[in-house]
Order: sequence, then C-alpha cells, then structure tokens
Amino acid sequence: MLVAKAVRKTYGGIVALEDLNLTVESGSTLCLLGANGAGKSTTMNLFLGFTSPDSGSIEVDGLSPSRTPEAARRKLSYIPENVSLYPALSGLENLRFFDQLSGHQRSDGELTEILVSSGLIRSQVLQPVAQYSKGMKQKVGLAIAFAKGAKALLLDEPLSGLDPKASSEFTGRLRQFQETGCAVLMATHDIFRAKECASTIGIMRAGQLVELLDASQVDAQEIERIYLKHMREDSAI
Amino acid sequence: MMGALLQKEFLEYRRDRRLWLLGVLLFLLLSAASLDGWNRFQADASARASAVEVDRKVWVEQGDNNPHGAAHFSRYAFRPLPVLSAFDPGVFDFAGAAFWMEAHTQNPTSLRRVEDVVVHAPFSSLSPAWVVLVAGSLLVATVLFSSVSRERENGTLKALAASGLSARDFVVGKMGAPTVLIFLLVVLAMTIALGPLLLTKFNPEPTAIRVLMLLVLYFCVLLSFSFAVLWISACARSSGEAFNLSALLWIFFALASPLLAGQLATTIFPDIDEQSLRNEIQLKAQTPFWVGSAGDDAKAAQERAVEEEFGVSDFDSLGFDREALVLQAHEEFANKVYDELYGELQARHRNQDSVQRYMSVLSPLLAAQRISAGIAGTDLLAQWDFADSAEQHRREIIELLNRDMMIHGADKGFSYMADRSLWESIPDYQTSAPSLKEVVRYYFIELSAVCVWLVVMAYLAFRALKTSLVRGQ
Amino acid sequence: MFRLHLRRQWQAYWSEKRSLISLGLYIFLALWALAGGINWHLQMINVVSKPPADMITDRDTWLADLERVESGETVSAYAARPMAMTFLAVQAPSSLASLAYRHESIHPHATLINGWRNESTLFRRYEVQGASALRAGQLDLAFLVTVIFPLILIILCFDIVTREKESGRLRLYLSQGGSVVELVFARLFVVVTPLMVVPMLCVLAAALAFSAPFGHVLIWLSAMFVYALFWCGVVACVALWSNRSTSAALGSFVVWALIAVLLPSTVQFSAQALYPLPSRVSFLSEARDAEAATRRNLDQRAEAYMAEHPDLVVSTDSAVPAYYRAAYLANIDVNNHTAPLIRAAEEQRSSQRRFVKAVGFLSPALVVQGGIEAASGTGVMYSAAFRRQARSFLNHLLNEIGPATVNASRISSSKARKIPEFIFEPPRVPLGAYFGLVWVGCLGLFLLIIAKRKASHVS
Repeated sequence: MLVAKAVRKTYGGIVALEDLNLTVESGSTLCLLGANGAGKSTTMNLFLGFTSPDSGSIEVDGLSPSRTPEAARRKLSYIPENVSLYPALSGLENLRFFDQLSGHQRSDGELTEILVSSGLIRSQVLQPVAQYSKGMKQKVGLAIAFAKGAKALLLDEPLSGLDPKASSEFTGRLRQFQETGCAVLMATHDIFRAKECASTIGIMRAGQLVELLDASQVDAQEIERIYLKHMREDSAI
Repeated sequence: MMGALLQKEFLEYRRDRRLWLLGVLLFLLLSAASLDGWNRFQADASARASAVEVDRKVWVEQGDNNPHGAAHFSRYAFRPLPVLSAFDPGVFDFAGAAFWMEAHTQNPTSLRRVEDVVVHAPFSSLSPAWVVLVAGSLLVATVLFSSVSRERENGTLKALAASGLSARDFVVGKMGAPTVLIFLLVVLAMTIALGPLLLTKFNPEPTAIRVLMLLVLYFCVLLSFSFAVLWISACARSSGEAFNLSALLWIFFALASPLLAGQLATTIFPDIDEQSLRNEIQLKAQTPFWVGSAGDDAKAAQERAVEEEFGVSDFDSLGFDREALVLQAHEEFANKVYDELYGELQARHRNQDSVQRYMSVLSPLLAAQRISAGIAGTDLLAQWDFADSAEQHRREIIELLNRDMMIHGADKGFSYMADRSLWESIPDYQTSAPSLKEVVRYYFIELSAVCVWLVVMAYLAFRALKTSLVRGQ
Repeated sequence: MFRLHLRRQWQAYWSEKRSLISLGLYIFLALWALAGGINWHLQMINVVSKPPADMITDRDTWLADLERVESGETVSAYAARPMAMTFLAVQAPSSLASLAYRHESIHPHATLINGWRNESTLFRRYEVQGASALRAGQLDLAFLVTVIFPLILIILCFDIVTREKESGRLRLYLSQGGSVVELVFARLFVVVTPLMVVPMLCVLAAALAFSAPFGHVLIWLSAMFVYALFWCGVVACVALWSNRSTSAALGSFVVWALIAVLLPSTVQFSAQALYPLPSRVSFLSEARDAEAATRRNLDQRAEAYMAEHPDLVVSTDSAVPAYYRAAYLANIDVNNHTAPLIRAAEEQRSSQRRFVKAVGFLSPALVVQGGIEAASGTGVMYSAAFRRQARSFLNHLLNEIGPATVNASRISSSKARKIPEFIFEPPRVPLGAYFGLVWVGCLGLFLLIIAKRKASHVS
C-alpha cells in the first residue's frame, strides 16, 4: 500500500533522507522511531505529496503523490501531532465538513455515532472545538480518518502530549483501523506504545532507516536497547 | 467538495464576531449616511427649485429698466442636482452651486457647501458612497486577512490538503466565499444607501442604469480588494504579518492615496490664487478696453458685423444706439480674455484631476471613488459642464439685452427702458448632466484600472492559494 | 534595570527594518508638511499684502479727491463718491498657521468692502480652487500628528508583549526577575521619542521663521505631548490585554480607525444632520428677492429712507447717476432681509460647535486637532470670525455712507478719515477651549496607570 524506494531528499544541501526503502502492507502498522530531525516527518510529507523526492520513488496504492497528489491523498488519512480543526465549528461540524470533502454524505446521526465510537462523549459532540482538550481533538481526528475510510493512515507523533489514559485509548482505537485492513504508518517517540500497536518497527537515524524489527519478535526493553544503541552511534557521528 | 468548503467558510463567517461587529457598525453608519444624504438631497433640491423660481420671478418682475441695468441686475444659474448626489456627493460640496451671469465679467461658480462645516474631519465626510467603499473595504480586510494564514497556523491547511481536496476546489471555495459575501454586502449596502431613492418617484431610465453601474463598480472594487487581501493572507508568514500588510494596503488604498493624489496635484499644478485671477481680469479684460485703445478693433469689428447683418454701410444710418454696440463690443473683447483666463484655470483643474487619475491607477479604491462620482453626476466633469454652459448662457442673454438696447435704445442710451416683454423673452438657464457615454469616456483609465486590478488580483490570489494547498502550508 | 531596557530597546529600534522605514517615512512626511505649510504661508502673505487691481480707487487717492472737492476744485462727478470708498479686508495668516492649514483654502482670506457690496456678494469671487484637490485637503503637520503619528506608533509597538509571549521568551524573562512594566514602557519611550522630536523641531522651525508667540508654541507642544500620552496608553493596554499578535494588531488598528477616522467623520456628519444650516441657495434667493423689491419701488424706498433721516435735504446734483442710490438701498435692504437667515445660521453654527465640543470628547484626535488649530490661528473659528468682522465692517460702512449716497452728495473728509481701516481681530480663545487637552492628558494617564497595573500581573 505505502512504498518508498531508494528515496533521497535534501533541503538546501542538508540531507533529510538517504536511500529510504520501506513498505507498509494493508492491515499492517509500521512505527517509525527516531530522534528529532531523523527524517520521520519528511517521510510523512513525501507520502502526502507536500514535498517531492530528489531521487527514488514514493507510491500510495500504486500512485505517485508528487505526480498526482490529489489522487494519492484521497487514499490517505492523516493525523498530525496536533489535530487541526476549525475552532469556531463543533466536533460534529468539523467531521461533517471533512466527511463531505472525502465525498461522503452521512447524516448527523451517523457522524455522531462515529465520533462517539472514536471516544468522544455524546454531549461534547456539539461543543465548539475551541473548548476541546488535545485528547478530544485527537479523537475527532481519528473519527475524521475513520469516516474517510482511506486505505492508508499516516500518523505524525499522534501520542505526543497525551496523558497515559488518552494514549491508551488512542492506541485502542488505532487497532480498529488495522482490523479494517488499513495500512498504518506512524511516527512516534513512544517506544512502549509503538510496541503495543505496530506490526513492524523501524528506527531512523540521520535520514536513513537503520533497523527494521518485527514487533512480535522483540519486547519493549529490547527495542529501547537497540534504539539507544543507534542514537549513541548518531551522537558519535 | 467545493460546496462543503463554501458551506464551511460561511459557517465560519457566521460565527466570526468581527464580521458581526463591523457589519453592525457598517449598517448603522450606512443607514445614518443614507438618511442624511436623502434629507440633504431633498432640502437642496427644494432650495434649488425655489431659488430658480425666485430668480425667474425677480427677473421678470423687475419692472421697467434699462437693458444694461438689467444685465447688471442679471440672473443666477443654479447647478442641477442629480438624484444620485444623495448617494455620492462627489466634489459638489467643494464646488460652487451657483453662477452669477452679470454683464462684463465672467465669475467663477460660487456657494460651496463645505464652507458651512464647523469641524473638518481628517478624511472625507460620511456619505453612503464613502461608507460602502471605505468602511466596506475595512470590513473585508478585517474578515479576510486570516483566511489562509490562520488555516496555515492552525494546521487545517495541511489537513485540507491531506484530505485530497483539489486545488481547483480549494481556490474556488476560498475565492467564491468572499465573492458571495461581497455581493451580498454590496447589494445590502446599496439597498440601504439607495433605499430612499428607490422608494420615491424619479426618472427611472437613466438612473436605473446608473444604479446598476454603481452596483457593479462597488462589487468589482471590493472584490479586487478582497482578492488582494486573500493573496496577502496566502503569502504572509503569519496572521500578524497578513494583518499588517492588509491594514497598510487598506490605509494606502482608502485613505492615503486620495490625500497623496490631492497633495501631488496641487504641488505639481498649484491653484491660481483668486487675486491673481481678479487682477488679470482687470488688467486684460477691463482697463485696456475702457481706458486704453485696445478695444478699438473690437468696436470696429462689432460695427462691421451689425452693418453686415442689416445690409448697410454706415452704422449711424441705422439709428441704433452706439453705447449698446460698445457694450457688446466689450463683451466680445472680454470673452476672448475670459476664454483664455478661465481656460487656463480649467486646464489647471484638469491637470490636477489628471494627477488624481494617474494616481488612481495605483489604488482601485481611489479609481472607484472617482468613477462613482462620475456615475452619480457629482464629479468635476459635471461641475465644468455646469460652469461652461452657464457662461455660454450668460453670453447669450447679455447679447440679447445689448441687442435690444442697440436696436430700440436709439438716442436714449442708458435712459432707454425696456419692459416685461423683454425680460420674458430671455430664456431660462437649462442644462443636462454629462451622459453616461461621456462619463465612461472620461473615466476610461479609471475603469480600466479597476478591471486590471480585479484580473491581476484574482490571478495572484489564485496562484498563491493553489501553491499554499499543494505545499500544504 | 529600566536603563538596561532602554538601552536594549534603543539598539533594537535602530536595527529593526520596520522602525527605520517607518521613521524615514515619517520624517519625509513631516518635512513635506512643513515645506508645504511655509510655502502656503508665504503665498498668503503675498496675497493679503497687495491691494487687488480692481480696487478701483485706493484710499489716499479717494481722500485727496475729496479734499480737492472741499477746497472748491473741479473734479469728476464720479470722484470721491462715498460708494467708491473701498477697504481691503484681509485675514493675514497667524504665525503658526503653516502648521495647520489643511482646510484653509476653503475659506476666504481677503475681500474688498465698499458700498457696492452686500452680505450676499461680499465673498462672491474667491472660489477658484480645484474642487477635487480641495476635497483631498493638504498634508499639514496637524494631520501628521493627529492621524499618522498614532498609526506609526501602533505599527511599531502593537506586539510589545505578544511577541514575547508567542516566542515563549516572556516566561523566561519573568523567571529571571524581569518586569513587564519596564519592558512595555521602555519600548514606548524609545519609539515615541523620535516620533515626537520630529514634529517638535518642525514646530520650532515654523515658530522661529514667523516669530510665533511662546504661548502658542507651548500649547502646540502640549497638545502633541498629551496626544502621545493617550496613544501610548491605548497601545500599552491593547498590547497587554491581547494574547496573540493578531488580536493586538487588530485591536489597536480598530481603535485607531475609530478615533482618527470614523468618529471625527461621524461627529462632523451628526452635527450637520442635527443642526442643519439654512441653505446658501435660499440665502441667495432671499437676497435677490429683497434687491428686486427695492429696485421696483425705488422712489418709495428712497422716500422712506429720507423719512428715517429727517436731517437730510434733497440734493440737486444731477451728475450723480441714479444707480448709486439704487444699489445702496438695495444693498441695505438685502442685508436687512437676510439678517434673520444669517442669525439662524449663526445659531445653528453655535449649536453645531457646542455639539462637536460635547461629543468630540469621544475622539481625542478631534480634541487635539481643535487645540492645535486654536494655537495655530486657523480653522473654522478663525474664518468665521473673519467673515463676521467683514460683515460687521460692511454694515458700519453702509451706515456711514448711507445719507450721503441717498442724498447724492459726498461725506466730509473728516468723517471719512474717522472710518478706520479694517483690521482683523483674531477671536479670543477662552482658556476653557483647552480643557479638552487636559481631558486627553488625563485619559492618557488613566490608560497608562491601568496598563501598569495589568503589566504587573502578566504571566
């Protein structure tokens, strides 16, 4: 579903990605771990078509985001670190708007159910988003992604700033996506949550994917050890 | 998708307190300005009608008088007051509303309303046209400056891009929403502003076209300004920067450019002072004729013309009054001087106006202000038309009076008395405002400027919005 | 500590692009305004110091003719007639007029007064300025101070606090024991100082060039100072109460647009709408009607006049044209008939002035403009006084020459000499007129105190 082949990306001479190769199949989740500046967000932006690779290729369900960004984006859902919503609109209105953008015409009842199933309390659905906490916004973000029914989901550090309970709820909802056969690519710093929801864990360092681990074969301590080893090498470099 | 975006934009507008606050302020200002404009129009129109009537009455009922005495007693021409002056008084408050048609002298127009003002506001007076243009554009700038920059700051722009929204739909949604908003705003504003006019009896044909033209003009200008603000919003790094640039643009377009244009106009083409004009008139049109011999040629030419007209070789054989002939010779002599002096004065005013015209290329709001006054019939074109036609009328009636005295005065000269029949035969002053065709021709550059601004701003906004969405920032 | 802030802000001010561009533009506009003002002043002096060419007979020639008549010499029948006794009335620009001359071209500054004039024709021939340029007005120093100064202050200071908040520096700054009060006031001080010094130098230059009285200069400078105080208070309050730079910019800008643009226009408009003046066209009609009535019944009117002056004897001087008497009688009748209209207009004008004075307190821009105009000797109050005095002089002259004109005789040279030249008396500006400036100053102080309180609670 999501494929990156020998991708190289530089910004004004600074290498952001070097020979990146990765594949995320339908129904699987790849979590990218890495320090700040390792290239995780650049990878997300490449799949979203916000930037183009200098060399190599990026594919979303066989489509190139740099050549046909709109078509590629229609196959994706995206949840950033801070879910961006319109503060003057309620959760329901935001969902309705994004749902209509994705070509659906759901009733308010259906949309409310999606919001509730994403973890929002029914009474909060009609409140303006300006009054929402970060966790509530993340739930609306999930609901938007869920309603779109995209084939792939991109998450850019979605757990950052969430309390443990909210994080736990979020990963629980994420599993629902996997069950629908959606390919998930998530960038995160949270090793334990990554282990909890990923099928594969990738470690990025200085724009390169230096390690690819089968999440079912390693425990969290092992992942942390490997991660820290790479980070130390990074510091040494 | 486009529909969803438009719906979302309108929902945001509906919940934008700034829009409501400024909208209410605009509505109040406009209602007050509209009522005042209409009251003023009615008061001025009735004062003018009564003045015309009084002028005719005192003229016809002046009793027996010498025609030359009557030429000094004379008449006034009053400037026609177009019905749309209630909406846009243009330059009429700053120009004379009456023209004194006395013998011997061409006077400038007189009676300027602005002299009655007890306090001068830093900017123009509050007319409906000013409110729509200046307060309307302020509302547009305030509501739209963060249209894209806030989406970028909030991250919703990225979310929109990630949703697969096409650039075309995004651009159409972002530009379509203000288009609809401005259309509604202009229609509402014009309905309030012209409401009193629409409810009363007026010659519907030319005015309806003019109202329609005003509607299109204000729509196009506010739209081009809104596109400029959208362009800024899409290019600015932050909403703060977008606001600063939009506010500066508004200040330049709405407030500074008219002031700067006026300042430049009078710096490059300074006004002739009244005293210089008066001195020139005295030294070129009066003294040389009455004291020197400069009028001899004019007198001889006048004599020849009369002889030719009546088929004689000697003026004296006609038994006509020579003093009246001399008076008319002076008119002919002085008229050439007036053509030169007032021609120079008007050329200077035209040059000043040209500076404003070329300045308006830099500001669509200034261009609109000028075109609006032209359409309303309250611009300099209408003023010059009034002054020129009134002067033409003055020359005609003085000639008629001198001719009567010449033919019937015989040897009585200034003792000859004419009666009511002569006064009744003198035509009343009548004129019509410049036609729309003339207005369009005169304001061709301003109209072109408005169109170019609209196209260029639409293109720039289109490009910037498209780029913003594609880049997701 | 405050000195440290001042030093830092001073350095920041001279290294910021927006400060330098704004200050450069401000200096350019100030110099343009000053140059334009001085040029206008010199032109006005030139205009009012020379008698116009159509001032048919100057006073000395007229008096010499009269003395020749009295000594029995033969002169023209038209010579030394009272109707030809002409006075030049001028409103010379006051010493600081060049600083606030924006709308001066609208009003007359000179006219000729003689028996041929009545109140409707006294100022007939001065409207030669281009209407569109007149509408735009002139850029003078008063405009620079009341409109442009606050705008530049806002542009340079609206984000004093929000910029620190948004960058996260504010918390660091506070945790190091920094004071927001000092931060805000140091920035305001640094920005306001050059913005005040520039017009101050212009005022002093104009004062030195035209020898202005010290008191007027002091009022000018005080008006600038209280206005600056007020805007510093506004900017500080908006900056402190805003959480984001956008809202601070929007807030300050809307306050500026309200105070400097919309309120003055609304006050002007409301005054005119609530207390409309009788139409000038109606005034003209009234004058025409009166003139026509007099001319129609000239003999009866002359008899009536003679009856009012029983000491007059009928002259036998047939060389004097009849239109002298006709014109004179028509003129006094015009003045009598239009007097109620003029009174009504004066009353409405007073009501408008009272209204503007009362409501003007809402807009410090309007109050300061009024104070500046009073100190500069320009504005509506001065032009109204000039018109009033010219009208009053005309009526006095008509009274003096009346009997002799109707009687077709001449007045004595001793009586003629007793008629003084027209000298414009500038209206006395009551001290209360400057109360508005005190109000603006108090308002400014109040806002600064509130800002100081708020600043000490910012976190």
